Amino acid sequence: MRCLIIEDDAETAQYVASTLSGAGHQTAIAPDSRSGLDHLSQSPCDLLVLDRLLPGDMDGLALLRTLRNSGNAIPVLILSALATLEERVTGLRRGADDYLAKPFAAEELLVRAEALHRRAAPADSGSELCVADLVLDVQRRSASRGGRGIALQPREFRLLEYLVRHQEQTVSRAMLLENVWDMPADPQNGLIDVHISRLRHKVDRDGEPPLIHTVRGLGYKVSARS
Amino acid sequence: MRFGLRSFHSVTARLILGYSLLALASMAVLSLTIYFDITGSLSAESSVATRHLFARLDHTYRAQGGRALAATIDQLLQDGIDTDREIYLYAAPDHTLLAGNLTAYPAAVGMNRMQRALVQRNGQPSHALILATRYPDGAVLMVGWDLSNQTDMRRMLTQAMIAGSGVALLLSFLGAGIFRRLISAPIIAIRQTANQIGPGRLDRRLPPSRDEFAKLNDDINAMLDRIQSLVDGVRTVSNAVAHDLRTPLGRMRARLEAALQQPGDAKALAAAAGQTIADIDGLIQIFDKLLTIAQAETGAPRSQFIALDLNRLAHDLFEFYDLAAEDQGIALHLDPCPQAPVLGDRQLLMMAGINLLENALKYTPAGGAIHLETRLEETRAALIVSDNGPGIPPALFDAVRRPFIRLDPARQTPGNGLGLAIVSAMAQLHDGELRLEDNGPGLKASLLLPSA
Repeated sequence: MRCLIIEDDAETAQYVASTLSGAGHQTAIAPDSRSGLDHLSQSPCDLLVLDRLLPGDMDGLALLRTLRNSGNAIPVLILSALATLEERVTGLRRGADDYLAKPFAAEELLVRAEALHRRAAPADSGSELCVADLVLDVQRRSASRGGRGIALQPREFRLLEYLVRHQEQTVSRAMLLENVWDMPADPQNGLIDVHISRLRHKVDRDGEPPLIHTVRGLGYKVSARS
Repeated sequence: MRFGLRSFHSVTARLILGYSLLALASMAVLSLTIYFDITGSLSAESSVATRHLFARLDHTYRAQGGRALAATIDQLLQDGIDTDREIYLYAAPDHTLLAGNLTAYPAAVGMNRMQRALVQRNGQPSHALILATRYPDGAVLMVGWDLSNQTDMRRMLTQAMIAGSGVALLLSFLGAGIFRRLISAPIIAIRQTANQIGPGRLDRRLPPSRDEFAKLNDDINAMLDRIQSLVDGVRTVSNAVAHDLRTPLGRMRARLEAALQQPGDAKALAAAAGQTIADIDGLIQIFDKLLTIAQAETGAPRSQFIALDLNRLAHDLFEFYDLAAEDQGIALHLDPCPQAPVLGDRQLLMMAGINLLENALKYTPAGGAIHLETRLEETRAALIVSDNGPGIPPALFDAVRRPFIRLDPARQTPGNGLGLAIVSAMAQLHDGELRLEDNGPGLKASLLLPSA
């Protein structure tokens, strides 16, 4: 995908750019809002990585407002040192699609950027989600694998559904916390792992090729490939 | 600045000016009202008397002739009734005086209309109301009323007004002076206290008072209490920050330095980098928590609060933690009350709940139990987490609410001493309270929130 990074700190911008281009994406860097808007008007982009505190008369949120008012629905990932819950909520309310606080891990940025790109792509509107022989019926909230019914608690179903909707894609623990539990990314490490291990126990039985994979140091991925 | 009359901007000067203008204005209104009332009624009286006497004498002349008129005038001037006011003149066509008390014929007097004129009465000048007529035979009759008492009255009232204004001005100055004494004492007290607090004596407070300044003093004292507790908090936090942040920073620096000294050992370098990143993540977490507390203590916008079901929140927490508790061999029980509506921010309250549960999970031994309950207490709803771990000595209940206070002085248990401080800050932000009790054994922590 084509990513535009609007960030005034050159080192951070370079770090973001090399993270994204390392995963095969095209990147461009703009050091302030004006040049960012110019770039957007000249060449199409799939994702905007936006800093909030920018030099000049237009900060990140003002740029976002300009974009959304002009009907531009490009996915926007805000990258900001303003890290409190309140600032986060403000950013999301003003039209951002995701919000990552600085400092951040490169992988976390990458998985979030890719998730945003997928979300922007036309969604599968059917009520069935599949990975290999795992089938999720979103309407009836039921799951089965190779014809074997899997009994899931409502929260387990939401967790599995989120993973399957992002199949072949790594999702971080923070993303799971935010999207499945609607929790501030705060609790001690390991809690998500407990839930995943319980889910894995139900989904991946002995002898079946595992579908839920651990991505070391980052999170999880549902994939048909082992 | 001395509290005095130095300039127009001093409160006392403005008070004096205001009071004086007010006093003078009311004096003027009063005096003018009295003056016009009295002179009005006097003029009316003079005018009626003049007309009455004129009609009578006119009739006498027309009916009985000049001789009778002269006799009547003489009689009127000797009857002792108003003789010092009445003015009469009966003159021949050549203006020779035939009867009356005027010593000269007033040439300026016009005929057949009531008028004011200056006449010579018994040789004295006199302001008078005069009605005169000339008969066809040329004779002149004038009847008048001396107005000198009205002039006296006007002079008297003017004098009274000047004297009264003087007294009013004097009273204004006196009143303002007394007022100044009354207000300057408490103001001086407030200024002295402020001057002492400025350079750092934050423990100073205003004396109690029972007048209008009492509320002001109370408000200022409450503000000072809050400032002092904030400053104390900052002091505690900065000490703790020095310890809890410098220690890991020092550790990281030492580790990286050691790794750099063996440049050939790529494995050791990678291990050092990995550990350092983990340490930095820990620091970031501490920063985030501190920011959350600071934000809550400065009072984040309550306009974003919405009606929430505390039971739902407890249920979400339970769902999230039951597996982890089970893994640790701890029984987590959920016991909701029928209804627990509150007004708040879900994420912030969730963060408070997370901290309560993590605290309990950290200190409860395997085989122990944690109860997660919701209760309604009069006007408040409570989220209660009780465990049967080692608990906290009641003497430390207040201390553990402050950031970085840990019961383990050696700091060997994991954690950063921010958990209960966050819960306490969240409670404050929601106009609630964190109540800690001995669970015998264990800790019972209740997050009390105003019920919606």
